[in-house]
Order: sequence, then C-alpha cells, then structure tokens
Amino acid sequence: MNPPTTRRGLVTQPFSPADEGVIAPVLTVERALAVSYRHVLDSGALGHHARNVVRSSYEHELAHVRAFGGRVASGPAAVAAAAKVLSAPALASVHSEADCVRLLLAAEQAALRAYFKAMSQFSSTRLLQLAAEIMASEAQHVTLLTELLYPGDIDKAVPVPFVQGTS
Amino acid sequence: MAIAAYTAGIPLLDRRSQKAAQQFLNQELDHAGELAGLIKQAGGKGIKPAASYDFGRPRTSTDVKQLLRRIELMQITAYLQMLPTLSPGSVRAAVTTVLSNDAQHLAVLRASLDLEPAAAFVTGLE
Repeated sequence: MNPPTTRRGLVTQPFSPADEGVIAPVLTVERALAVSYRHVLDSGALGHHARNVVRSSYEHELAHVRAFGGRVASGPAAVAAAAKVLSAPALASVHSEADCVRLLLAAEQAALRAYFKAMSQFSSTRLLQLAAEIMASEAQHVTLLTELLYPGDIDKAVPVPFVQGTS
Repeated sequence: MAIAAYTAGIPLLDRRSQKAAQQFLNQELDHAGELAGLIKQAGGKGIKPAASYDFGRPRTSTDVKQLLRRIELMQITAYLQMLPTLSPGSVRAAVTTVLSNDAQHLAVLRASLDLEPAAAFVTGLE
C-alpha cells in the first residue's frame, strides 16, 4: 500500500458514520494543536533553534488536519476555542520560550490521549493506519519539544516504552 | 532483532549515544515482554529469537546508528501492516503505544545522524 495515495484518497472519500464519530474528537484536538503552534510561533518568544523545531511540527499539524479533511481557523476566536479544547488557559499568556514549549507539550499529550482512545475504535483499515502514523508523529514532537527544555536528557525526551499521552 | 542489534551495537557507539541506546534497549525489552503477553493472552505462541542475525559489519558509531535507524523503520512498518489484523481494539491501541515509542527512537537516531528527526506521517518508509 502506498501511504501518500492512501492519504489523498482519505480526504475525498466519506467516512462511515461510526468512524466519523471517532474522528470528530481527534480532529478537534488536532485543530486546537495547530492553532496552539501558530499562536506560539506568533508570540515572538522563541529563539532561533526552538522556532525551527516548532515551525516544522506546526507544518506537520496542518498536514494532519488536512488528512482528515479538516481546516484550521485563525484569529482570537480560534485561540480561545483551542484553549478550551486543550484546557490550557495559559494559551493567552505565553511569555517565555519555556512557557511556549510547556504549553505545546501539554497540547501534544492531549493529542496522544485522543489518538490512543481512538485507536481501539476505528473500523476502517486506512483510517486506523493513518491515525497510527499521525500518533507516532505526535510522539516524535513530544521528544523534540522535551529536548528543547532538557537538552541531551534522554530520560526526559523518551521516558516510557509505551506512549499513550500523560495527563 | 532490535534487541540483538542494540545489544551488539552499544559498545561501538560514542558515549552520548550509548546512554540513549541503552535506554532504547530497555524499552525494546519492555516491548518484547508486552507483545509476548498479548500473544499468550490470545492463545498464541511467540516466535523465539533467532540464534544470530546478520547485521553486516558496522565499524563506527555512525554505522551502528544507521543500522539501528533501519531496524526501527522495519519495526514501524511491521506494526503498521499488522495493525488492521489485530483484535480486539484494545490490542490495536496497545501496539500503537509501542509503535509510537519506536517512532521516538527513530527521531533521536535521525537527529544524531543530522537528518530531519520527525515526519508528519511516520510510515516506516523514508
């Protein structure tokens, strides 16, 4: 199976009602995650290296939303909605690079929890594999963001053998 | 295979990479234990590790990291292919937690090789 072809197919094909119910909360978190990344990039609080890491992950988040056939809103209302979804009141007040990274880590953990829950519920093979590919990408983002906070500390960057999102 | 590769490769790695690789080896051992438990729970019988594996002749730290990168990719590909065949859903979710950890290993290995560490879709292909 060629994954890119599969993903292109996904956005044009309707999901089953059961799978739509599974995708909806995942897509909500993905949108909030993308808005959070955008907000952090716009904050001006990131140094050069962190900005490169965050920008790359942001582009991945946009691709994830598109893969599920969604779009990302922008503006203050989108930021407020994202803060609500992620239970992250600090979204409105990120001042330092560390604030930004901690906020994104919390958002990524919320995404991992959403995917972990969804993985047992998909009926479509293609959606199942796509969601697994994206969940693995979010896990990589967690590692890279943690590395920004604790450079070279592998115990913190890859702390557990089973990744399902922490609270 | 990953356990054998990490075990054989760690002595050839530079000091900083050794610490990460030891962490990853411990996690691969946890994965093997978890998967063996799932197979047993399903009434199956796990496949025993081979007596030896042909990893070629890596000589430098970079050679070993390239080998480990390829093996992590192989594992990710295998998990993605196997996922739709698994049931119940809780087993699929459990396997995905392992796959996601292997994706983290891959990110660290790729970064240490000066490659783009993360991908939007972790497919096991590069």
